[in-house]
Amino acid sequence: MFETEPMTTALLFSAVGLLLIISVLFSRPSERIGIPVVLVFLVIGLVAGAYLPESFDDFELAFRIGTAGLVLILFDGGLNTPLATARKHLVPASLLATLAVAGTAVIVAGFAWLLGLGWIEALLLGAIVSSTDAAAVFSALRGSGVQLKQRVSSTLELESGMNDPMAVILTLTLTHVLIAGEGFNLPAFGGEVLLQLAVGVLAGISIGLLGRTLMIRVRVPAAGLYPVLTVALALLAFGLPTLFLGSGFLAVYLAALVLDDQKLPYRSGILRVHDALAWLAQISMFLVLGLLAVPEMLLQWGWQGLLIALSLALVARPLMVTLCLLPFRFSPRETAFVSWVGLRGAVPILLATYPVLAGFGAAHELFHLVFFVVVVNALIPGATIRWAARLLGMEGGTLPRPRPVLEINAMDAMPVQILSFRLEPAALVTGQPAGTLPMPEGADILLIIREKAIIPVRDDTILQPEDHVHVLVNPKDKRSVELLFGLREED
Amino acid sequence: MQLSDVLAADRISIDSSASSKKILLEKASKLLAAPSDGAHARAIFESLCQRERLGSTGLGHGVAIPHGRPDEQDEVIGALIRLTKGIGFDAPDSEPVDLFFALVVPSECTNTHIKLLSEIAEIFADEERRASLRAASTPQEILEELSRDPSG
Repeated sequence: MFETEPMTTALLFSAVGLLLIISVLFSRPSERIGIPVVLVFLVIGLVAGAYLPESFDDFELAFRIGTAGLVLILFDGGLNTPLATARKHLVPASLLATLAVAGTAVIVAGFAWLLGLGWIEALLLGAIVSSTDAAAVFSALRGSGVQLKQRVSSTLELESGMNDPMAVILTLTLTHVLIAGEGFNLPAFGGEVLLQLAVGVLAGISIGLLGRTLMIRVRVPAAGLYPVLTVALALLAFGLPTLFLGSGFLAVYLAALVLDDQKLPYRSGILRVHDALAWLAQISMFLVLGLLAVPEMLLQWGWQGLLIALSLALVARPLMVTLCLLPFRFSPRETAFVSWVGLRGAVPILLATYPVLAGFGAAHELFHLVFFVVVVNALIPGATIRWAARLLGMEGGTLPRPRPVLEINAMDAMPVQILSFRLEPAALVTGQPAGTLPMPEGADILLIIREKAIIPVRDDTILQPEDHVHVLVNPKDKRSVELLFGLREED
Repeated sequence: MQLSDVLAADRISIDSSASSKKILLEKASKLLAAPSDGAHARAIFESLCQRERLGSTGLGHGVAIPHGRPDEQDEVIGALIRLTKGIGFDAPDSEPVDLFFALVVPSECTNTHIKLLSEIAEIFADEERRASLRAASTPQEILEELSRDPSG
């Protein structure tokens, strides 16, 4: 009865809708107990897979969904990384994203080989699991209310945005070399990696710059069209360099990093759309990857998988992180924390589908081993991240920014800014009448939200703790207003 | 109320050193508290920390204005600390901070007190005045620079 259209499509949509709802609903409890929410999606996929009438083994579809998902996630990551912080932490993060990835791959491969894998499988495994997952790291942190030191969080964030491309390059190139049976030629391999990185960097930065100019210059009739433009830019930033033998993933991240600018029209709307797309991408890719796995094949790896997973978390990553951060005056505690927060996520599992597609002999076993290693390396650091942050003194000492209760979005960039604050007793203006504050020229309190109601601002309105206050300010006076009002809310 | 009313030469510490935000704030609290009043210093330290938790009081360009409203504080007091080597203070430009004007105001503070803070921020925003504060070799020179009327 479900053989014909529109029934098949309807059935598919209902199943996908249901799975998405379940995934979204499970995100809250997972946040509370500190399990990375992406892992929950993976498990939901795994469980759903067990109940399918026939097993889902479309690795090609999974690879496509995974690639699209990763493009959207990296683009969103790039948009949310301020260019100034990126510049500041670029050098250590780049080292972590290249040298540490390659080193981690080799060390894990060594352990896997010792544990009885063939050297080809071992090398592939090492390359596949070598990159960390930004989404997993930050979703694990966000729920805890821990605000990390800026240097540590920026380095981790940049690293995870830039190291996926390296792992992708390593895996794809290795797979080609191994499948073609050409034997391993290190100089040629190194040359290829460098070419991919160079083309990726060049394409990413150019597309980002061109895109920014386009967005600022061109007027389109509806606000909803701007996110369409940015999604198009994301697709191009992946597609074009990949066609020219460059790293599309690196290009996507860099393009978004360069593209984001205060002057973008409808900027907060664009950011919101990409935030939603990144969530959808994460849920979809983890669900699909979960669907691919067969639970029995996961368990067969048992202690062997566990040892490989632990060698990654306890030996390979700490060693490479320590080496790469050595020139940058990171304290031992900071280094230890960066080492510990090497959460793995979707990228390794996505990469593990590639050898299957390429027809590599033991690819299915490898896929399940990778799956196992990822779960262990998401669960252990994910569940202990708050504890580690506290133990190592990584809390930045500032409160996390509260969510605003009212958002004011402008279609066009305006010469003035509207900042929102939540008042705390320690802020200087708390307890003052609104009308007599010494505000910079052109700055003023626009409105106050108190207990879910907007109250009119009069000169004698007393500012109270827990008020949400929106302040109009010229960008040059932003800092002095922040000094008076204290705790900024999220943009 | 003038800046010179809240600052005195014995609360200016030049060529000081601190290795972290916490140590700097402790130093500032000792300068601001009544002499050898440990409880007062602790209350000030707490209030400075509470304000830093809302967001760094670093302004960029290596300057910061840590401030607080401790309970039972009944007058405005300022202190100036200049470090020989700047420390990380989570300033918006991520640069190390070496010049601090610390300020405590009564918890029932008034408009006048807030104006004082804005005035300090204005002085700190001026590149030339930052340079002369950094170049000053005695607390007296710092006091003179702070009370100088830039328009005159």
